[in-house]
Amino acid sequence: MLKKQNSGCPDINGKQWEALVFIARESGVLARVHHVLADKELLDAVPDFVLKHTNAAKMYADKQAHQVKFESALLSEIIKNDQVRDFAFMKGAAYVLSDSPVAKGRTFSDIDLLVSKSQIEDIERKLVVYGWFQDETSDYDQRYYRQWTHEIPPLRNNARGTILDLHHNILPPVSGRAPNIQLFWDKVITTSSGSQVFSKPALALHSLTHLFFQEEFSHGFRDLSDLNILFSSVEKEDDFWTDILELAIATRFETELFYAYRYCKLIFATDFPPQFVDKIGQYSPGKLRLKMLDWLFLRVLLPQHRFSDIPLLALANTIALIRGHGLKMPLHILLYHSISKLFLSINFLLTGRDGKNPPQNEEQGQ
Amino acid sequence: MACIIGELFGCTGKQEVRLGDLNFGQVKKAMANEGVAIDLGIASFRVRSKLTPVVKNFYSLYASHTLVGDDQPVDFHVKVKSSSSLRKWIYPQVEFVCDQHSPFLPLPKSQAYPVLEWGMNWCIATHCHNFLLIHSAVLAKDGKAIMFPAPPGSGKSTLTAYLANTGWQLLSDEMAVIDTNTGLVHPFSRPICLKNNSIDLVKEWFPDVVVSDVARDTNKGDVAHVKPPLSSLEGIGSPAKITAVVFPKFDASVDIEIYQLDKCTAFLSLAENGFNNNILAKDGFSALVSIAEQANNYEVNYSNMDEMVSFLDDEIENLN
Repeated sequence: MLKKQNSGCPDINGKQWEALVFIARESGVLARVHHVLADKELLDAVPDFVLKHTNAAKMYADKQAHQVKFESALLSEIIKNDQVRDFAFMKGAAYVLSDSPVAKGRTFSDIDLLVSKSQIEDIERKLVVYGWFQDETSDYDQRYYRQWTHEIPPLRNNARGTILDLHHNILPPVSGRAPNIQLFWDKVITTSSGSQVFSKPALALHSLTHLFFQEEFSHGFRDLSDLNILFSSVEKEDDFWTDILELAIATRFETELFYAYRYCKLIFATDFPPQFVDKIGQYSPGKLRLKMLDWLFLRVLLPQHRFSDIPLLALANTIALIRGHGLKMPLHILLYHSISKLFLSINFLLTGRDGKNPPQNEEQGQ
Repeated sequence: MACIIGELFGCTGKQEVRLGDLNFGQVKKAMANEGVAIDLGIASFRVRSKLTPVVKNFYSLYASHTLVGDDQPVDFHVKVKSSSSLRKWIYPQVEFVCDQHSPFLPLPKSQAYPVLEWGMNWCIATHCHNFLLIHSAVLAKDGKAIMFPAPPGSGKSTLTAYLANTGWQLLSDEMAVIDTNTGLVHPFSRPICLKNNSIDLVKEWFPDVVVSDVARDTNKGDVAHVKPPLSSLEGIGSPAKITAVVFPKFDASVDIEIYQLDKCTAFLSLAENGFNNNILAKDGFSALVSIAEQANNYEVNYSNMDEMVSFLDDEIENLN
């Protein structure tokens, strides 16, 4: 439909416009639709109904972008000192801070920040002073995060409600695919406004590995759309294309880069430079595997709404869930984790204990 | 099934079809299937439910509202449904669904109808950022609008119900919808939500008003909704200028006390009652400042309704 709009064809009826708005709203790209229309000077060509919604979404996205700049400036000040120089904003926050075209109309649920593993606990302690607290988590969840994953439980600013995710790597160590994070640290740049973010190739690579390691794709279309915009905004001759390939090879994410290329091409008809296309093809998985992945991704990466009429979507989402979990956790740990969670749920159902509050007798003993 | 409503538009040759033009059976069937699309001026809702209390109360309270044509787009698709599995039968619960998501925790089935109203408020408050939204009633006389911002418990809804049925035009009970470009407030007429004692009081004052079933034991106490008068719906689409802002507070210990507020206090109090002024940032701030500056601002503690109405009538008369 966007393509139809882009060619200026007005023969879309009221119900179809309604479907467009609903699908875009659900997929988190409604504000982005506004910017696409504005860039192509089509704001006058669409009905008021559509503008009403895209405009409202744009207001919300603008406010969030503003808030991200404010929060990251504050966070940079709090975290930076003689001991701590290594930190970098990632994904949504990084798009805004680097004035990327991806930031236009983008909304966020949290701010992602990469810090050094050795300093993560110190930083966490310092943030408490400035009102960043963890929501109540059980002992099990704490162990889960700190022992197995690449991040600590999310922090929430108690005054503003903003959520901050502190990471020390881009994938859980327990997955066996966590890269040598120094390779990403080497790509940190400072923007003209003084924020620390990944360079464009590293930013893109991180976003695409994040997408293709996901277990849940409700934002899959939005995330792929981010990549489409990012790739489309780079000149064909730019060093970006060799840099991203080099980084992907060094961090062993060549296959994921291939997926990003393939599905951007198939879903968004993204234009890639020929020299990149020549080199990326060798990282394709085998024919059969590719067929299965196409079946999966050409479902879960589409806007997930009932108006999109995607056949067997629920099945595809279930398979994606299993795949995502399987990628992030080896089977024996996944089994342990699943059984523990099941046991904890039964325990809570029967006794009311959720592992978050100390048991009665311990309190009395003090 | 879509044809029943479509046919009505076709056969009656009417431009506008009201919900009350359909019989209850047709509405029940529609709500169980493709839903009934209702026009509320600033937004439209396609409402679905298989629960009889929801259908029954919706039908009686929205009878005078116009329907949206079958081929026209609708802003929100909402549904009130029973929770699935065990909670359908044991201590039954209902859920509000906006498009594909349930934004709230389920509530007891006895609150099924208010859940629809609260859910519709939520849809507007979380999506309609093309307007500045303030928690406030808005009523007008002689084309001049007065805003009544107030937190819950201030008696605002009782006052609203009284004024709406004594010659004032109801623009809104819960939510003032303001265009930040023009500064005008748009009509958003929906059933008035009454709580506890005011339900019986309003029934006593106006025996002919249509009132929903009473939902007991909600977190606001007893809750019922009152059908807005026809006159308020005739204003749909015509925005009005805000000429006064009155912060009402029911206080049994005084007849009436009227305080004129300075612009700064008025601005701060308005901002406190804002739903999305923080999202509208500069536009929201400027719009609130304009309202505080252009309007006469008062805080009124009262228990004597006649005195209150008299004050408001005088205010309208003196305003130019």
